[in-house]
Amino acid sequence: MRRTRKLVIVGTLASIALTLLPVGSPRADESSISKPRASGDPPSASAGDPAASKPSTYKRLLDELEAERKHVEELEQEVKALQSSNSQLQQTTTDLQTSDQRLATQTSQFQKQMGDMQKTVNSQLGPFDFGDRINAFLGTHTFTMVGDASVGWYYDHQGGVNDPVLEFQVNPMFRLTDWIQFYGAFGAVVGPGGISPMGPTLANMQIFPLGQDAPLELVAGLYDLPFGDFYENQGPPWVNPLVTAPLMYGAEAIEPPASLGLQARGGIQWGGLGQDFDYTVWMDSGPSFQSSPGVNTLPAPVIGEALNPLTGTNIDTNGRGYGGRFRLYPIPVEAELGRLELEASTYNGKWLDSFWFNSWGLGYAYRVGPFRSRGEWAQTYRQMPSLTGAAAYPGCCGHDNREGWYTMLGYAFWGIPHPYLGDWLEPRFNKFEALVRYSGVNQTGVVANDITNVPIQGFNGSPSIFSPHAREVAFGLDYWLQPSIVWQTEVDLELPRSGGTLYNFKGSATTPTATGIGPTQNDVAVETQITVGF
Amino acid sequence: MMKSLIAKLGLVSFVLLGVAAGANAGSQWGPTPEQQKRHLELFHEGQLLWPIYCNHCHNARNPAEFAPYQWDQIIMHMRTMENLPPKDEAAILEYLKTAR
Repeated sequence: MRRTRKLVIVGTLASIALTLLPVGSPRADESSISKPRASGDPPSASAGDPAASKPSTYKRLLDELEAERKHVEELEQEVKALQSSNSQLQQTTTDLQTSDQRLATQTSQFQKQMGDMQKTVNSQLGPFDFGDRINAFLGTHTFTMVGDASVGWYYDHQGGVNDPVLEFQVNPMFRLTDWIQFYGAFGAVVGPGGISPMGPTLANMQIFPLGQDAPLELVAGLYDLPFGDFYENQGPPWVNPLVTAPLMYGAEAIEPPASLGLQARGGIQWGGLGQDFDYTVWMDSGPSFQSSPGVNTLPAPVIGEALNPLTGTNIDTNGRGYGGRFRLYPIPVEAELGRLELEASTYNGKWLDSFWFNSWGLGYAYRVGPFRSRGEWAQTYRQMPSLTGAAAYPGCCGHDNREGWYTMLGYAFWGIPHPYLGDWLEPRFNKFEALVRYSGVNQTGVVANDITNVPIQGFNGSPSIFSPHAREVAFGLDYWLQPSIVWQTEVDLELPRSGGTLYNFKGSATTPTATGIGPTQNDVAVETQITVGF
Repeated sequence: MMKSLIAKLGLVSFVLLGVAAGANAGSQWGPTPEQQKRHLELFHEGQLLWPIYCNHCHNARNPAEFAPYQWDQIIMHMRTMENLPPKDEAAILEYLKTAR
């Protein structure tokens, strides 16, 4: 039995060997038995001896099988290693996909949060409400200071003026709530006459008794007289496009510049946007003149005496004043024809207890594009005391009538076509504005004691202005560095006409002498100044 | 170093200011859509009126020249001086405060 088994094994191995020898294995190129023998190699010992080669062949086959088995095992290990690596890669890919999904989710949430934050910012701290938030933080009591300063040089031929002139003014605003605010003006002028005392020129409370939505405001205290437009709206040097004031609002004004009293005012829109109507009515303690009690610059009332800068300085008397100003704006904004104002004013009352003072005026203002114009006309009537006999003196009695007017035209250079000026010159050219103003005053007489040739801001010092029939043509050239910073240059031609009376309180005389005014002398004045509104 | 410190202090101050301003504003959480619409209408109207009304007397001032609380005061004064209709005053104020 054992013999049979051996034979079977041997037979099997022999058949395998016979099978392998002539054909070669699929890996014959790697097996030593399949290698082609080189022509110079010696023949192997077993090649010529089949009997002797059988055991060695068998052993060689076993070795080769063992080698093959080992090789297969190595390959299997490599496959396992590759499978393991592939598994790890798959796990890594899965992890990355999970992480990517997580990131996508987080990005989406972040974008949503950003959107919510943007909405919050827009709704709470956005441009429409930021100021209100800051204001809420600051409280209802707020304080602001604005004002202006100017420095210039004035020359007048007849008055011998060749002097620097400085002026500054600050305007404190103290707002207590949204319905009441204090407004003041404190300033001084510096010139050849010295430094003026710095006192309040304005001090009033602006009150909205019915709230911000009602067209009613009250102004109580010391305020610019709202007669015409000049004192209120054109007074500050950076607002007035010319250096000097029109004659009717200058050194020989026909209306007092300021008043102590109470105003009620407001505006309503009666048509389209820009079609407005406004009113201002007021009462105060009436006009006063240089001879008024408490002022007494002149010893007795006289025709032609100057008005005091402030009504209400004669509170020792029973003077009183009532005024009204009404303005109409007929052009709607959508018409794009500019803004036109038509104005009428009146100021009436009593001075020195019982003498009537009446005045009224008309005015206009218009601005469209580079062009602007404004003008006014007004007259005043003052009743004088009735003195007879020894009590009468020159200029004591009758009526003291005055009349004044002005018209001004201005044109900004940016309205002039100038295509070839170049990049450097064009913006500078655009900042210029040319102006011309004609103004005049007619009155019965002037008082020699009021005449001065000491210039102050807005007054060139020309004695010609104190003529009963003063006339002035003013040419101006402005260079607007900023909307509220301007370099102004003005040439004034003073062209007074003959006529009228000059009253003069000589020395310590209590009554004036009267002299007729004959031919008058023309005059030229030049002013230049830089003004800053802040 | 100093600049960095100042910048940080400024940033912290600004944040605190914003927080305080927000906290001071009470329980309201921003304007309603109707109020936003009203704001926009006022803004556009003010944008139209600002150059016309202000230039009537003087050159219109740049909105950036003053802080919002200052515009509150200045426009309150200018409304009084120029007798602006209440609605127009509100529009110009809205424009000046927003256009900064």
